[in-house]
Amino acid sequence: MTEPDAKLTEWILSAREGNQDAFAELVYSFQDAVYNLCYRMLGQSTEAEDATQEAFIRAYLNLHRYDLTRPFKTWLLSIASNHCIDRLRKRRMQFLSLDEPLPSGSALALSSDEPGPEQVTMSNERGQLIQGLLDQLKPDDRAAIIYRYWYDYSYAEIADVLDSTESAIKSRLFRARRLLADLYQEGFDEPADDDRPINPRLLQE
Amino acid sequence: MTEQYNEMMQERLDGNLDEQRESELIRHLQEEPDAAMHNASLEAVHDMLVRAPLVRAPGRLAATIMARLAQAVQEEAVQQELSEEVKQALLFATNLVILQMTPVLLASSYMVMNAQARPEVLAKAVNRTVALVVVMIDGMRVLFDRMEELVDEDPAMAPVALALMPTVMNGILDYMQNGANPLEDVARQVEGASGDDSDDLDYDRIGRLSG
Repeated sequence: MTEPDAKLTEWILSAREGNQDAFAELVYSFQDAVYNLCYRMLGQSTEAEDATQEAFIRAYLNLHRYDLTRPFKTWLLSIASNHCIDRLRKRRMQFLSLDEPLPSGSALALSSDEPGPEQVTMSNERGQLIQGLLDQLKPDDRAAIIYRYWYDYSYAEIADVLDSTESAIKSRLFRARRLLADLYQEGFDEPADDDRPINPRLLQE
Repeated sequence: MTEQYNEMMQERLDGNLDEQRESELIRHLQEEPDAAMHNASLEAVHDMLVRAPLVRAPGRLAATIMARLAQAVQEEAVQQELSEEVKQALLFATNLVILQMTPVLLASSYMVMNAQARPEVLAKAVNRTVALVVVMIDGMRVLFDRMEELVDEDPAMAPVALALMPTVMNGILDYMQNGANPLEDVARQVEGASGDDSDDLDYDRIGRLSG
């Protein structure tokens, strides 16, 4: 067991005993990963913050169910993505029950209230374009794409997180990417330049 | 065949296409402009997603999570503390209410059975039964509304409210037996204001059985 792993296990075990300071260490370590997932899934900063809080609280209350042999981050992210998928389904039901057309993803992303730190990061055309495209996907497909591109997860890892099979995840990813490509071809224009670093592992693949 | 090449395009993006199949795909793309265009879109989307940044959590988020967590833990502790009492009170109250309702149900069954022997009063007996249920449900609705208000004000009132339920039910039955006889009023409404005093015997039976 590496030193960070040992530290992580110590925090988890301590948090299980009710030590909230130990859990705070887990929050500091994983808040970016969970928040990014929630933001990419939900497309709104306020809702993403709320979902992140909910995911951590659920994690704390269910720590006794966590299997120490599994990666903690995967377990935590699975709680967050399941919660976001539920929220998206409820949101869809609310829209449908009002008999109104679903708003476009970009409209949802832009209708966010006060500007948060992520909006500074996302205040460029490419950021809005990515979120707009993601928002067109079904919740399960969106989750698969997010795990693949933001977390470098393999098909097997995504299947584990989303409680599915490798072949199902593969077809889900292919379907989602094809839809995104079609949308892109139909009129989403990519901004000209971008100086953000490319994830080297994904490019190698 | 096209579907096979579509899959190969995606396999290539994920780095799962061997050299031989990649060469085959490239040849296909050179020969098919539509496929080449689709592949270009896939690659553009892939490239955009690969470059997409990780959105960082707002600075205040960790503190908010810990504050909410402390509150959630406190609430859960209170719930756990109450849960056993609430369960006991609920079980006790439910049993008492069932006990109280049993004579009423027996009386209803008795009325219907009698009416079967006298078809001319069947409709009236059914009306009486409906009226009885209407009054009971109305009373329960008021009771539950008041209980909800109490529990909203203070969750600790839940077991108290539950424990009071049988007493209140008793009060409703007493009222029906000795008060202004709302059962008769409701029954008249159900019957379309065609009251008949000859059925007072049924009310007496209900009163005796439920009291």
